[in-house]
Amino acid sequence: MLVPRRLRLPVRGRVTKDGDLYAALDEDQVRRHAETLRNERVEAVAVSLLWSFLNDAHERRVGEILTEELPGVFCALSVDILPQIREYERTSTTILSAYVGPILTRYVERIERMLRARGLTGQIRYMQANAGFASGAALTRKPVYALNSGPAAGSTAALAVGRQLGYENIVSVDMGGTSFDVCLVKDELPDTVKNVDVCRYRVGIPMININTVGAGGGSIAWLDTGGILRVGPRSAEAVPGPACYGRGGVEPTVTDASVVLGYLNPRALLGGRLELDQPAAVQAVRSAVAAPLGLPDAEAAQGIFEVANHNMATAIREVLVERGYDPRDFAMVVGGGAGAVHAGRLAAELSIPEILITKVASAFCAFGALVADLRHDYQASYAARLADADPARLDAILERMEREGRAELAEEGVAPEDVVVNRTLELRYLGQMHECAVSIPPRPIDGTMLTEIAELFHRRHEALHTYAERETGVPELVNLAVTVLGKVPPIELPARAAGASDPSATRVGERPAYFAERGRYLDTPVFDGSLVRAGNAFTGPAIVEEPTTTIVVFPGTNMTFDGRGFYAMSAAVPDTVASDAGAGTAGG
Amino acid sequence: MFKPVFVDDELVFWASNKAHMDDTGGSVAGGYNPLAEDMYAEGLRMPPLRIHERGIPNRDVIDLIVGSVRTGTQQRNDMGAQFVALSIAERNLVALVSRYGRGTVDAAVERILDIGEQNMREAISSMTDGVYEGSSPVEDDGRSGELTIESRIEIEGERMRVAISSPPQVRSYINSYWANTLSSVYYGVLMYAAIPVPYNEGLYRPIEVDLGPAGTLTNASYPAACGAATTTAGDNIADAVRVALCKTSPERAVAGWSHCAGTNQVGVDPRTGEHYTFNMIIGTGGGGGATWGLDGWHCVNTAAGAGGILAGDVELLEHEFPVQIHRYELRADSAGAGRWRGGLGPVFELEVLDHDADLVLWGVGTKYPPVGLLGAASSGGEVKLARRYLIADGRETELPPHGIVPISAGQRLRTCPAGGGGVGSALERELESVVADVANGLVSVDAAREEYGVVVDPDTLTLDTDRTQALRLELTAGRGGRWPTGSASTSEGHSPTSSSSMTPGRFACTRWARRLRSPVRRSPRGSMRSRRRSVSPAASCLAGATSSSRGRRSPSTR
Repeated sequence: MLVPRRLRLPVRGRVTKDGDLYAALDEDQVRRHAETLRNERVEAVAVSLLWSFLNDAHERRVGEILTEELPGVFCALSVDILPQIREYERTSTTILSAYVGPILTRYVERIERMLRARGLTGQIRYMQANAGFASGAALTRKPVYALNSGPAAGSTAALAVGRQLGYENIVSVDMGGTSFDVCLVKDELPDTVKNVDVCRYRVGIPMININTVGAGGGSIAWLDTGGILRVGPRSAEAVPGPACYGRGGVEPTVTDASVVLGYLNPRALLGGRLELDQPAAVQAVRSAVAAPLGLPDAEAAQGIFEVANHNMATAIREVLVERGYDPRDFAMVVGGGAGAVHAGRLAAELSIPEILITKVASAFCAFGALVADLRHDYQASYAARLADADPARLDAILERMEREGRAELAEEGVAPEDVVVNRTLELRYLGQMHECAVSIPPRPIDGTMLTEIAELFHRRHEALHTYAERETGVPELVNLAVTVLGKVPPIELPARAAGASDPSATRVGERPAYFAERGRYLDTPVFDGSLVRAGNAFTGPAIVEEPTTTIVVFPGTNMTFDGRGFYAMSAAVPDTVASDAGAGTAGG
Repeated sequence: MFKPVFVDDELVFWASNKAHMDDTGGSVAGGYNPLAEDMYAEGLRMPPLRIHERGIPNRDVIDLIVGSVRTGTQQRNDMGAQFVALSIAERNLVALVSRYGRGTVDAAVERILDIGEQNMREAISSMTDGVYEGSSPVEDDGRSGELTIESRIEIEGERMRVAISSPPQVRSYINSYWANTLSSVYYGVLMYAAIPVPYNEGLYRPIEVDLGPAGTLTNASYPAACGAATTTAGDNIADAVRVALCKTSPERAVAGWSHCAGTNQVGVDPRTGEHYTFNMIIGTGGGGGATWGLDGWHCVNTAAGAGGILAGDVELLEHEFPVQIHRYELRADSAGAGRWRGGLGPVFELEVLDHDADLVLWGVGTKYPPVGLLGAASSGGEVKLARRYLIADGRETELPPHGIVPISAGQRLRTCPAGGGGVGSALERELESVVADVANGLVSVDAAREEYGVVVDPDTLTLDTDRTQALRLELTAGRGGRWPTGSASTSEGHSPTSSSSMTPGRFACTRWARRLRSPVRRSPRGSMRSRRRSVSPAASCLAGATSSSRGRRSPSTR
C-alpha cells in the first residue's frame, strides 16, 4: 500500500454533484491532520475531495493550508492531476503523483544541474507516459506522467519509422528477454488508454497503450498439471538465462527452441560475442517437453515456438482487433533482439501485410526517445446526455484546456505554428458503465456538431463492440480531453549505398532450419546483415543475421532492404511457394 | 441467453451468457419481490423463447419483454449487448473449427474437460477419506421461520458425494431450484478445493450431488418463488458445504463470506421522469472470509458473485441516481476475529433527493455472523451482524431483512453489511498484525483485547507485551487450549445443535406489509444473544467477552 490506512484522513466539508457547497470545509480539522502528518514525517500528500473538478474551492483551500503547515512537503491536488469524474481513479492517480513527486523533483534538479555544469545549453526534455516530451518544470507539476515512460518511447520509434516509409497505421512489437510489448499508432497518433493498472495501482491519465505479455526469448516452456505445453510468464532472465547460454540454465526457453529449430546461429549472436551451447538447448527441450510428450525434438521446439507466437499474437489482437481496428490496415514495426525471429509468423497469423525491421532493433525505445514530439494532456468532465449538453459550455471547457496547453508549449519554446491540438470526447450509452473515446474535429461546438458527435460515437461503438444503438441508445457525454502536440522536425536517416537486387554477395552460407509448413529441416540460405545493400531482395526461406538481431524469412516471404536501414517483409501465405528447390532434410 | 453455433449446417457448440437484468416486471420493481409466494408474483415468466430466428430478431418477443419491465430501454440494450457477445463467441468458434477442423477442436475440448476432471480428482484424493457434516442456518425471512440447510459429504478416494437436505419449500422467494443449488454446491467446493485452471464442467464429473426429494427449500418444485435464490439460500448452501469440507484439510479452509443484505432503491427519477432501479451494490458488499494464510477482503460483492461485482464510484452513482451519499467507510470490528481475520464490512449512508422512493430489502445476515472456521468465532454480537436503518427526522429505525419500505425525500438509509468470518483462533493471530489493525482503525483497542487477547495502549497504539502474554495465556486456557491443527471438530461453524439451540422462537413473524410505515419492528435480539453464549466453549468465551463491551461505538474509520 502506498498510503498506510492510518494516514488516509477524511476531511469534513462537501461539494455536491451540482458543484454547490453543501457543507463548509472544517479548516481546523485540516490543520490537525497536518500535525498528524508532520509527526509521521510524511514527504508527500495527495488531496482528493469529492466533485472537486466541478468546484475546487475546498480542495485548493486544503492545499493552501497544507503548504502553510507543512513547508517543503510535496502536495498533489486531484484537480491539478486528473480533474475528472470517478473519485477512485482520480484519487489513485493523485496518490501516484504524490508518491513519485519528491523523488522526481530531486531527480530533475540533479540531472539539470549536472548537465548544465557540463556546458549543455539546449533544452532538457523528459519522456512521459503519453510518449511525448515535457520540460522538467511541466513534468514535476504532474509527476504521474513519468510512469512507464521508457517503453512508451517504442511507439514514437514506430511512428518515426512509419513516417519514413509512408505508413500512418502501425503496430509495433518489441520482444526482449522477458517480455513482449505491443503498441499501436493510428493515423500518426500513438494509441493511448486510461485507467491502466501499474503494479496494481490505477492510473487515470492517458498512457501509451502498451500491451505486455511474458513472452520473451527467456520465457520458460513448461507442461502444466494437465500436460498442456505452456510458455512463460516465468523467465530465465539474464541469469541463469536460456540453457544455450551455458550459464547454468536447464529449463527450455523460447531462445532454446529457436536454436533447436536452427533459427539462431550458435556462433553469431551479439556479433559473435555470445556463443550458444546448442547441445544444451536440445537437452533442455528434450527433457522438459519432447520426452514427456513423446515428440521428436524438432516438433517439441516447434511447439514451444508456436505457443510463444500464439501468446504474442493474442497480445497484438487485443490492441488491434479487440479495439476495433482491421490488421490489414497496419504495418508491423519490429523491435527488440528476438522480435524478428517471430515477426513473420505473427504477421501471417494476424493478416498484417507488411513487416518493417530496423537495423537498430535492440535499441528501439532509445531511438524513439530521440524523435518524440512534445505533448501535454488535459482532462475535464461534463456528465450530461449529449442531446441536452450546452454547446457553449462544452466549447468553453475545451478552449480553456487548449489555452492551457498552448501556454505550456510556449513556455517550452514551441512556436505557435508547430502546435497541433486534438480534441476527444468520452461517451457511453445511458446506463453503460464504461465510456469510449471519440476524436472530434477542432471546430466550435453547436447543435449540428452534437449530432455529428453522436454519429461518430455510434460508429466508434460499432467498431469496438460490433454494434451501435442508433434507435434506442441515448448517448451520454462523460469526459472531455485535449491533447496538444509540439511538433519537432522529422529526422533524416542517412541513405545507404545502393546495390543490385541480387543479394548473392551478402550470402555467407546456409544451415538447416525447421519450417513447420514443410514438416522438416530445410537447408536455408544465411545472409550477413552488415553486407546488405539498398535494393537487395530475396524470397524465403532465409535467415538474415544482424549483430543484435536475427531475421527469419519464412518460406514464401518476400524480403527487401531499403535505402535507410529497414528490412521490409511481405507476410507469407503458407503453401504458395512454387518450389523449395535445393532444400533438403537435415537431422535435429 | 443461448446461441447455437453451426458449422456447415451442423450444430457444433452452444454459446451462452448470463446477465443481471434491472427489472423483471411484476408488482415490485427491481426483480426481487420479498412478498412473492409463487413464481407468478416475480414478474414475467419466460420459458425458452427464440429472440432471434435464423439471424433475424424476433421483434414480437423482444417488444413483449421490453414492454413488461420498468427499465425497458436499458433492458433492450442489455439484451442487445448479450446477443452481440454471443455472436462474437460464435464468430471465434467458427474460425477455430475452420482452422483446425472439427476433429481437432472436439479432441481439444474433451482434453480440456479431462484436465478439469483430473485436477478435481487430485484435489479430492488429497482430502482425508470420511464422512463430514455441515449446516447453515437460514434466518427467518419474516414468513418462513428459522430453517437449516444440512450437508453430508462423503470423500472416498477420488470421488466426492454431496448430499444436501433442507425443510420443505416455503411460500417465499428464498427457494432454490436444482440448477441454483448445484451451482451453490459447486462454488462451495471450488472455493475450498483451490485448484488450477481450467475451470469447466469436467470439474464436476467426480462430484455426485444428491439433492433429495423434490419440493424442498434446496430442491424446489413448481410454483415456488425463487427471486433471492442466488444469495439466499445459495450462500447458505455453499456455507454448509464449506463447513463440512474444512474438516478434511484445514489448509484449504475458506471462512464464510458476509451474506448478502441487499437493498434496491426503486422509484421515478425526478430529473427525467424515468423509472430507475438502484441495486445498491456499494451498500451491500460486506467482508470476504479469511482463508488459511490470508485475511479476508474488505467490502466484496458477494460470495455468489465471487466478489467480482464492482461497488461503483460515489460520484458516478450520485450522477446516475437521485441520491447524495454521505458515508462510505470501513466499519471497525465488523470482521470475524481469527488467526486470519475476515474482511471488514462498510457503513454506507445515502440521502434520497427530491422525490419519494421505495427500498426493496432482500437479504440476510442480521442474525448469524459469517461462519468462522478452525477455532475462529462464529459469533461476537451486534457489531458482527448486518444492519440497515432508515433515518428520518433524526430518528433511526432498524429495517427488516426482507420487505418493502418507503423512503421520502430528505430521509436517509444507512447500511452496515457484515464482515467476513475468520480462520484459526484469534489468540494465535500475530501480534504485529493485531497492532497494525488497531493503528489502521480496523480493530478497536477494546476488541484487540477482548477478541484477540492483545493489549494495545490507547494513546500510543503500541503493544503492551507483558499484559498481552498474560492475557493470551489466560484466554487460551479458558478457550480449551490451542486448536489442534489438522484434526476435525464437531463444533465447527453453526453446527446443527448450536443453530437449533440458537433459535429464539419466531423472529418477527409478521408479514412485512407493503407501504409499511416506520417504526419497523425490532427483532428480539437480546434474547438471542444471551442464548448464543451456550453454543460452544470457544464461542461462549468470546460472546461473553463481547457482550461486556456492548454499546461500544465503532470508532470512525479513517
